[in-house]
Amino acid sequence: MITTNFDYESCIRASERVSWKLDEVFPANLALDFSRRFLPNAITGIESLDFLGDKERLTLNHISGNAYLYLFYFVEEYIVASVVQHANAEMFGDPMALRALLRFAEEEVKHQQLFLRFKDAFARDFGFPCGVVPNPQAVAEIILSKAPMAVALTTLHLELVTQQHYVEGYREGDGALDPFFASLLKNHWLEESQHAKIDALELQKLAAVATPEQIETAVGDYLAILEAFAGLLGAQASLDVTTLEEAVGKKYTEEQRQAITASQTRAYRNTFIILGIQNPMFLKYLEQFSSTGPGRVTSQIGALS
Amino acid sequence: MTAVRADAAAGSPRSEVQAAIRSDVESSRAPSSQSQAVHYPGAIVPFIHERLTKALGPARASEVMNERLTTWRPRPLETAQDLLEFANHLMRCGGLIQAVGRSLKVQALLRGAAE
Ligand SMILES: [Fe+2]
Ligand SMILES: [Fe+2]
Repeated sequence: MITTNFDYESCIRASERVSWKLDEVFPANLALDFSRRFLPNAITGIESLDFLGDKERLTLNHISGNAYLYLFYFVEEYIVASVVQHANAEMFGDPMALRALLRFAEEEVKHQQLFLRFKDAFARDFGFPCGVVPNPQAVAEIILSKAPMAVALTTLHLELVTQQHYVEGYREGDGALDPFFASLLKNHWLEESQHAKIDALELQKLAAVATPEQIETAVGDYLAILEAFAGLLGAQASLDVTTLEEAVGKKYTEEQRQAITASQTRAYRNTFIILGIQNPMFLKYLEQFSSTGPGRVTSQIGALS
Repeated sequence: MTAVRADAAAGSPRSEVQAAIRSDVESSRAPSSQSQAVHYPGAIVPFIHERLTKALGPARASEVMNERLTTWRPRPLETAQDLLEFANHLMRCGGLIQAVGRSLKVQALLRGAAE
């Protein structure tokens, strides 16, 4: 049984306290500044590519930053659909849960609009076309075909990692990262931290009535979703190499291309998958309804890296 | 002018809505002893009844529940799968009862029921 020290009402209060407006966080037509890094080194891994010069590393960091926000836009497509289902299930039920879930859905659509605004600004200011993996709707369809508990578990995982991403940026100190990009990480996390709590409360409701077989299936489906996501992240990494070549006006050797793709794949998988699997809160909630769950998912870290 | 005449006609959508509002107001004023008891086996019966009560008021909820249970197969309501099937049964009523049924159906699907 999942135990928590919060409820839907406290999530609504916290959400009201930290909520922000899209135009205030990202004024329309704001020009992007490419003079500093977007993402912290701890989550890009670009520093290990010693054959890249400083300018190339900086450009690859910007490409990664654009992909990072777009990938959140991408996964939030299924999260919105899932949260609206959970809200529908609370119609004529618990009004606090309904309100918390409706706020959650509204915030997530706002995040998607924020990330698309960034994607458009990047396309306008970066100067080169930047390839991103297509068709979030098809991926949403695959994820939502899995057991609802697995979907809720995946959402909890993704909400929790945003905090780690923000903290990594914060650790690098003032001025290391582009302040505007750092503010996006922070504002996203501010609202995501309530989402993670609401996910835990929803998971608690589902786990309370689930059979041991349903729980086993949920953990298996969660791992299957991560495996599919790992493939998608590999595809994004391949697109990044082509974008980098165009942006820096240089062709890399096949060996160098492979090294960049491998580094980008490893970094994305660490950022979106491994940090989530290893997140102490995630493992704590998982263990509360599946004693074998933490061992089962952490044993897949190697295969998903 | 056509709209006004249609609204004034007996049985028009607007007069039905007004009649429904009147009956809801009356049922909400009625003492709870006037709502019929629901006797049916199954752990999820009180849950469904509570949802209908929130949507329709106590008297109408009991009436709908009893009416729907008389046309329901004689089987206890216990599992998420039972909830899904009963939700589909409610949805055939249309209107607000259909909205309750649809919500219960999502609830059942989230808890592992399959269509
Ligand atoms: Fe988000
Ligand atoms: Fe979120």
